[in-house]
Amino acid sequence: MRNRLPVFRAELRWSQARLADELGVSRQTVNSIETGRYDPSLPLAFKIAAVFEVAIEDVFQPNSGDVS
Amino acid sequence: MTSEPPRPTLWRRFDRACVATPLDRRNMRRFLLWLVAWMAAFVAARLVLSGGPAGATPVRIAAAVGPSLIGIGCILAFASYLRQADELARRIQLESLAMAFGGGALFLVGYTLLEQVGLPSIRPPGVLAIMAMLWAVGTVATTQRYT
Repeated sequence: MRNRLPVFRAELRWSQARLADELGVSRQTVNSIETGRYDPSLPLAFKIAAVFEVAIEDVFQPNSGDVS
Repeated sequence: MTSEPPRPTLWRRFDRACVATPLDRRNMRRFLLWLVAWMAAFVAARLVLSGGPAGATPVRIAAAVGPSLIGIGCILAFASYLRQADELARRIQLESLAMAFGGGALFLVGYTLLEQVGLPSIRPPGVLAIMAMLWAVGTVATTQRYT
């Protein structure tokens, strides 16, 4: 799954630590999501979208192989 | 002349690498305190039970049961940590516990056969030590994979 977390975060000029505080997760979790090493749970994905005030599909998009 | 910032200590680097929120750190500290209390109670119980006359006196029964009661507190503290943990930390713990439990079971079953070809018998604390080691290795390996 691809994500635009770094883009939205940069627009707000937030650090990973700041975003992690807003989401109630660790900074490493934000880093792992941004680098694509970890796909967040659905509740966390919705929370991320809510923090950036966008739709969930604006933040997360499936890789071409993920959907048939 | 510019002075270089001090290099972070080994503990500081380890702490930074840990996947944990402030709440997770608090909960993990609480679990570790319970664990230390459990170990201390176990050592104290061994001392009480190894000295004095044998038999089921109230003191000896309390010494035998006490550590297990503290152990229950330890398990509940870990369960509480897991329930409230950061979701990536929970994933890491799930995988490392699976590695520890599966590896421990594999070792126990495999070693039973090795005992029959002459290897010395192993006591339960030995199996526990192997499980704890696998848990630690699993935690480090899984953390590196996700971060």
